[in-house]
Amino acid sequence: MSRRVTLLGLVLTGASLLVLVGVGLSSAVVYYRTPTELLAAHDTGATRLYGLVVPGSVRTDPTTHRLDFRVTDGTDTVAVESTALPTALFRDGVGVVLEGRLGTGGVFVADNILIKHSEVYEALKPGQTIPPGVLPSPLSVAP
Amino acid sequence: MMVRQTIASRSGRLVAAGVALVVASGLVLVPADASQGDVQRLMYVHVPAAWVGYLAFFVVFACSAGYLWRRDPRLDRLAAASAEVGVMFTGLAIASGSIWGKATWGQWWDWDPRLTTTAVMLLAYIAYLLLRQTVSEQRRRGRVAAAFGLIAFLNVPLVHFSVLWWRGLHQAPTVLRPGDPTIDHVLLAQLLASVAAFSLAYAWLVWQRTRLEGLLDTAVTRD
Repeated sequence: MSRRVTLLGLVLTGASLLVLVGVGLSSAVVYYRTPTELLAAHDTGATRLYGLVVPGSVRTDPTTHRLDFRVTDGTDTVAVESTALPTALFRDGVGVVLEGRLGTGGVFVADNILIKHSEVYEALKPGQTIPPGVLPSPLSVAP
Repeated sequence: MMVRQTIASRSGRLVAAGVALVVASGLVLVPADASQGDVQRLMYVHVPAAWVGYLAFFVVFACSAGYLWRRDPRLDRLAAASAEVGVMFTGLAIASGSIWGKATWGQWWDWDPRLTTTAVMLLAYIAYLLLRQTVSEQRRRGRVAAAFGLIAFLNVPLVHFSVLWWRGLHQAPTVLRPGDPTIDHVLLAQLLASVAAFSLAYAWLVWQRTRLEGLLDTAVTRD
């Protein structure tokens, strides 16, 4: 009997711990912020920013390896500059998680560009080709 | 005994052929993904491996509860076997996901909620297997392992829902979501075939591992 009570106690303790961790994670730790949240916070500390690459906004400078583009959440847009090299999936409209900080003049300086792939998968049709990325990637196969 | 061994080895060959077939068709037969290209084919290993991990740890959970209730050593052996196979498949899911992550995200690993909870899950079941090694008396080992097996499972739903409850880098579910899966039906058929083949491989491995453990227990008792 007492063994069962101990066991029940263990299970309940474990469950409440996990609920605490869950609540803590959801409120205290935010993995990334949206452009709207970042602009509202006026925070210049290290953070992650998530947005979709605004079509047509990507500019590359082959000599300085600098990359300029804008990301949006549909409401607000943030200009981004970076010398990081994203993968071949970096293209217009793709979701990106940027690690960096908001610099002076409201430009987000990204040290790292991660592509957040969506949960949508479409089969390549016969004759169709994979759209080229905006940049050459070390992992992409040379044409 | 002889008949049983023949069934075991023949069904083993069938299961191995099934896994080889779905991996080959995933690599060659089905079309590539229109935006990612060939790297998306890793999905046909990653998703079934992750699914088998969930399945295996649910079996550990159910057998642990059953063992505490009935104290049947067969349930304890089944739980141990399922944990071993689950750890192997979870490791495979992490390894294949990591390769995909390097090609798609741009890095091998990230402490996002899905990856973090998955790492916790893998470590929890490695700890479960280690814990079993520290207790030599059979019934005591069964009780301790079953208690741990119940608690360790609490993290498993968190792994699945992490992509829905919190923001992260990992994408949300494609198939296990309300409404139509957001994947072309040819690719979906391939994915489901992979899940079926991996599940059969899981069942076969657990069956054989449980049988071996049973033989070992009998041998120990006879000594």
